[in-house]
Amino acid sequence: MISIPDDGEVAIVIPVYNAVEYTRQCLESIGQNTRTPYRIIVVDNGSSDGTSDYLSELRDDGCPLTVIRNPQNPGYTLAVNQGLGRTDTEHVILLNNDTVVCPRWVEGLLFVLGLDARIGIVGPKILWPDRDVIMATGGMVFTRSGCRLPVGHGARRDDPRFGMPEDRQYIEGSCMLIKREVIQTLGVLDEAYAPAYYEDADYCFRARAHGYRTVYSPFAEIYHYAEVTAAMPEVRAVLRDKRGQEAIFRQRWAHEFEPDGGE
Amino acid sequence: MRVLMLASEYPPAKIFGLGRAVHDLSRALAEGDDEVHVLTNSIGGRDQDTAMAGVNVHRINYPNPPQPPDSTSCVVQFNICLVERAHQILPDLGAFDLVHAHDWLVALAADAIRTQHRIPLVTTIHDTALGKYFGELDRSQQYIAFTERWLVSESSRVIACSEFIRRELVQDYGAEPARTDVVPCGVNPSLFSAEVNLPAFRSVFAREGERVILYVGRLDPEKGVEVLLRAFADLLGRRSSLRLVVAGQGQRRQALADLVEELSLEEHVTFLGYVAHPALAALYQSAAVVTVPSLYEPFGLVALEAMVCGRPLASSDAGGLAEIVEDGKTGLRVPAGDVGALAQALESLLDGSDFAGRLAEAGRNYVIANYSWDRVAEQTRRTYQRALSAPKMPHQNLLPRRPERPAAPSAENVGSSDGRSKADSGEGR
Repeated sequence: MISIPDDGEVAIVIPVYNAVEYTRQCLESIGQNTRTPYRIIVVDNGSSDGTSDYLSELRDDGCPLTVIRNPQNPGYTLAVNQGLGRTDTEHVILLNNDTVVCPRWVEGLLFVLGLDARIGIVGPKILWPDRDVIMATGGMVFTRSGCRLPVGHGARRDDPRFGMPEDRQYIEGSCMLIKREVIQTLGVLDEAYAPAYYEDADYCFRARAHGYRTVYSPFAEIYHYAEVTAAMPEVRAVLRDKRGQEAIFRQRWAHEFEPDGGE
Repeated sequence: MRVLMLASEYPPAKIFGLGRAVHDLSRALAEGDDEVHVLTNSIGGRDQDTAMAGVNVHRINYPNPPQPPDSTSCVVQFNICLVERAHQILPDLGAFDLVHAHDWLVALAADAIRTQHRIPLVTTIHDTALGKYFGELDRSQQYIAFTERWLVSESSRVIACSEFIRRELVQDYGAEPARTDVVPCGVNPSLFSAEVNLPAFRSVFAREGERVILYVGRLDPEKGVEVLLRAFADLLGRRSSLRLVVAGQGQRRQALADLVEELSLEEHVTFLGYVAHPALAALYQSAAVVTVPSLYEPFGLVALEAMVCGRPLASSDAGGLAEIVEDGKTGLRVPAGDVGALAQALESLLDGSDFAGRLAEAGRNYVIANYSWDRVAEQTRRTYQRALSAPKMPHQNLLPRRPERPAAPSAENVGSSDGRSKADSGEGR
């Protein structure tokens, strides 16, 4: 007999590099808005802005928190994989630190995961900060450019067109629930995409190639500031060019892309 | 008996729900003395042949699917793949007693396989194009109707899932009544026994204190969801704290979202998309009332599911529902398409009254007594026996008649051509 909802602990993997105020905001929102038991795994990519002190304080206050500290910044993809390696729970959520989660966000993701055994990955409704406007509800990829297109971008928060769980070609890595079976089948994110970008879409395409559904949940909502880390000068220098990642992705998956709408 | 089932879908894939029924039937047959092999579609990525609950499942190998230009061509392509796969596996599997086809999507392959292996064909018709598509049929719908008619006329025996479908087959498709049996689908009560933390489950889609009216099914025109939305709007005028939960997906999804906006129901309607077990069981348990508002319904599986979950049921009287739901005893039944009557029926069941409780309990007992898969398997075996004792030769009704011809000049030719023609008509090559 299967018990619904599943009462197991959820692991939340959050890579961070500086921006401690965002991290604080994010972790506080998790503390306030999560009913399901959870453990946070922060992978600190060599922050120098007090992130470390904040995390220690938080752990001392009883927050279920594991910290992995890298002396240098190996980038997003590798940090996520380090975090994933430290999880053994049935459900894992990848989360960016420049997000604020809304009430029932974990339950809203788990609920949709439970709707069909073939669903392997679920993402939330992602909102612009401080606005009731949708940034993304997962997305799709168009031919040629390999360009990613967030679905629902610019629609109002309660637009009924984005009120139903639906399949997407990919779920944004900024918040992605993955079930253990998928991690066992696929392993971790592909480090060919290091330091960052397209590893999330690639993971979803791999999951779908193995018969899993990647689905958007309208019952989970988060705010996403987006590109907070990527905008830092020292990070931007490294991430300036995503053409390499784009090319790998395009080469692997071009046969799966949606046809160009314009032609 | 050794049975080769052909089905366009099989779990874990689900498109129309047909696969679930084929799986449950196959499993129940296999639990008896029958050996069941299912030949079916690929599910992408995980296409190994497997044994599921005593049933041997063979999936087509479809590594680089071509892209046929339309749905009709897709079906032809799919059937070619089925025949190819059958050709690969059948020599090693040994002889089968019969082929059992489910619906028109596998008609071409079923006919080819039974012709080649000279075994009877039994066909189950779960619904018909003529009934399902309203108005004039377009070309591809005509093709479906034609294929259905041909399949029915070619089968040694036809199984209709309800008296309603049997009537359609006899009246509209020219099925021979003496070759047509009614065998319903079954329901497996254990599928609905998931342990649910209801408050936590409900909290995702319903507010505290809201009573949930549940619809489960495809969002296709014949399902009557528009009627339900209007009835729900009507009901909201009189009652508060209601939520309509719509589980399923389909062609009308966008139109229904528009209607929700037009009727200003955004705050009260939740669309869930496709829901599978065990979440489906949890969903039924969350409902105060389940409704099946179909305009056309070949069978009415959702009504049986609601009943087995002990939920009060408000259904239309379309098709097979009239055979399942006894008005005022096992549920409430209203004329299909009648918005006011549906709203009234929902209202009278909403409050968990003794009356609603009595209907729900009677419904549950009725389904458990009459729709077990064991019982369905037994009825299906009887049809198999009849098919074996009176197999129908392929293309008997459709074979063109050779005109009378004067005898050929050479005695040798006459002899050999006679011999061949005897073999042709006798074995039906």
